[in-house]
Amino acid sequence: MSDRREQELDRLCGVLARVDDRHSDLGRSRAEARLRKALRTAVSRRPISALTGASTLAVALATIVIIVRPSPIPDAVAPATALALRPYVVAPTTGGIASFVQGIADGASLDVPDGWLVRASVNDGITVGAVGPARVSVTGTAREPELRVDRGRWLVEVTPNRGIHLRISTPTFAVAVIGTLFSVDASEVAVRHGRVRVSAPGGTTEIDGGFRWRASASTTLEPLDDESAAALDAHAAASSPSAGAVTVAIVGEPAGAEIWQDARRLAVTPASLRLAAGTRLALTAPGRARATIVVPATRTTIAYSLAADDAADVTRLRASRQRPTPSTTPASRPAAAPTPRDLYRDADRALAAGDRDGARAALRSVLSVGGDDTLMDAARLDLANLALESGDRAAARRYLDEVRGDAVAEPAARLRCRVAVASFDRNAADCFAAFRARFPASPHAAEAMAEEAVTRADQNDCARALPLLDNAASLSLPADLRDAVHARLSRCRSSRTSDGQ
Amino acid sequence: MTAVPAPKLPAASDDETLVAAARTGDHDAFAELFRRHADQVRARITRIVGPVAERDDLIQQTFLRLYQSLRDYRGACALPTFLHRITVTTALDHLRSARRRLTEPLPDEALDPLLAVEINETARAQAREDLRALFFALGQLSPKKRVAFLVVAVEGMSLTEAADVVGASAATVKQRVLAARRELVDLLAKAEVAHV
Repeated sequence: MSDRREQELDRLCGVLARVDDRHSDLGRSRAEARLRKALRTAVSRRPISALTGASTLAVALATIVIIVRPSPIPDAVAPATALALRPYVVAPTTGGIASFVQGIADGASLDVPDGWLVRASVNDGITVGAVGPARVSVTGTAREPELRVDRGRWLVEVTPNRGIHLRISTPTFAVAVIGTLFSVDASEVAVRHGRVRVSAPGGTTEIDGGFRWRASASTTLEPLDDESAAALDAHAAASSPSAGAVTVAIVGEPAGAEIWQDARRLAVTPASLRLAAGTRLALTAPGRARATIVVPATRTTIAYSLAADDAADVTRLRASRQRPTPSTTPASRPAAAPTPRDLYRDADRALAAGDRDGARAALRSVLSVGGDDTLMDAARLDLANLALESGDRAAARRYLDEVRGDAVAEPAARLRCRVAVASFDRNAADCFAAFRARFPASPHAAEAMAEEAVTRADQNDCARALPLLDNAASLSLPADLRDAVHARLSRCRSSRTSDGQ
Repeated sequence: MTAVPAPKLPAASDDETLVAAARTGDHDAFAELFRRHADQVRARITRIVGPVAERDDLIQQTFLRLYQSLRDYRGACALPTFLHRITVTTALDHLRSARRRLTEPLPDEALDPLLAVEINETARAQAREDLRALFFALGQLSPKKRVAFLVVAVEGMSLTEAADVVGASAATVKQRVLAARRELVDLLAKAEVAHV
């Protein structure tokens, strides 16, 4: 009898040994983003040595206008107090709003208007965020702060092991927190990591990470929904500033430009951001040149104007399906030999007119004239796109291999994966996975996931394709890609059903 | 117009190169190490602590400890071995601090992600029951016995290797493994009686 039980234990150990609890690709990317944030926090006390002085304040491209001046517009950041809500991101959820909203924060409370995103820190160790309409206020002490949620859904992150005992109250229940990432509104609490304790009239419930509690069904927990998980991960990935942070207001034309830090999109303009001095940001907008700015040491407004007709319009290259509108004003051509910029502009016009041969010739001329690394990389990317379109995969690969800088690194990496698909490369799906890991905040991450899913399904790897296809089916995708996802989803589901029978 | 420097890392850096770069504060290099080893760390943590919600935090804690230990890592053992030690220590610390035993069987939702996608529904149901029973029994052991048993009986380490990983002598590890086996056999027998 005892031998039989020993054998049974060995069999169970064998089952456990076969457990292969891998991250999903999205999960790994999220975990990496959290880790990067934790690493930044770990080293943030070190002096920043990478600054090269005031001359690096702005200007990546000659045609971009960056003006730095003392802030003439109301600053949304509250003055420092012993316990205060200090916004570090204030931005509209969609671009195009031309003026800032005043009175968002008064130190003790935050009132987020409809359509605006605000993220704020509460001293060191707590960050909160909400999309308006939302309102929260803070009382208590630095060690035992209390947040009162008056309106809206609030995302909260508490750094563990700091001795902070946060309490959150809503009109119907209270939440006690030790260290965690969760969201709360008047009707529910959703926990991503850690544990919270909810006290409601019906009793006290402890909620672990991965679960959601509703006031209307206070005795049962539900699994955390994907939407809440994604919102909380995005909140955690938006790092709060260190103690030496300054506020910069970023305004200009066009409104709605994206503000990027490394591969992470922080906000769209106009925005007020609280960031460490020396942080390098990039501004991008469709059809406009990219600009780089460095956060200065004092509070300022940075006014930008992204040139619309710049030759280094890498944004256009990032979306090869969308061809640019031809310029309505004829470009002035210098009497001397054409510059690389002139040639690139010629290529642009040729592409817009559907003249691929003309575009190719102009782009090759850009390369032969040389002298502008970013422009040459943009030309190589265009040529690679054209080569792939015409079925010349070897040429596409050759041009991509010649891309040197990282101004077009993201579209080049994705195009490389498409070339791999066209070449029936066995590693094509892994290429998309690597792309998503390298550019987790890419505006094309969703499309890359869908492309990976379709590629895996086409490689008869439905086991790995299915979770991605399920995910991709819920996303907004271009019509052809959406159709491809749905076709593979049906096929993989039916093959799973037949395997299971 | 300024050209941006090309990415610093070569396409196929080995662990040693990445460790050297990470020691200088290169977060991209450390992120690459994370991508390479995260799945293995996750699988190990799950086997030791079970499919608990905190395991994402434990994985992050493991890699933060690795980052802080890189200065002390001299390459005397391979990085995966070094990382394994940190993983086990992190999991052990969690089991000690949790100080609570599993009182309810794990739900299907917690177990399903651990099962291979390609197996049929009957096999899935059996695997679920097996894991549920084993995790429940493991949850009744002391953290030290649990970890010693798992690294030897499930991960297949020798007593010497396990001793190195858990930071105890081989003789101590052996005692813990034998004691854990006895307790597990008893617990499974009780569970069997309860079912009957």
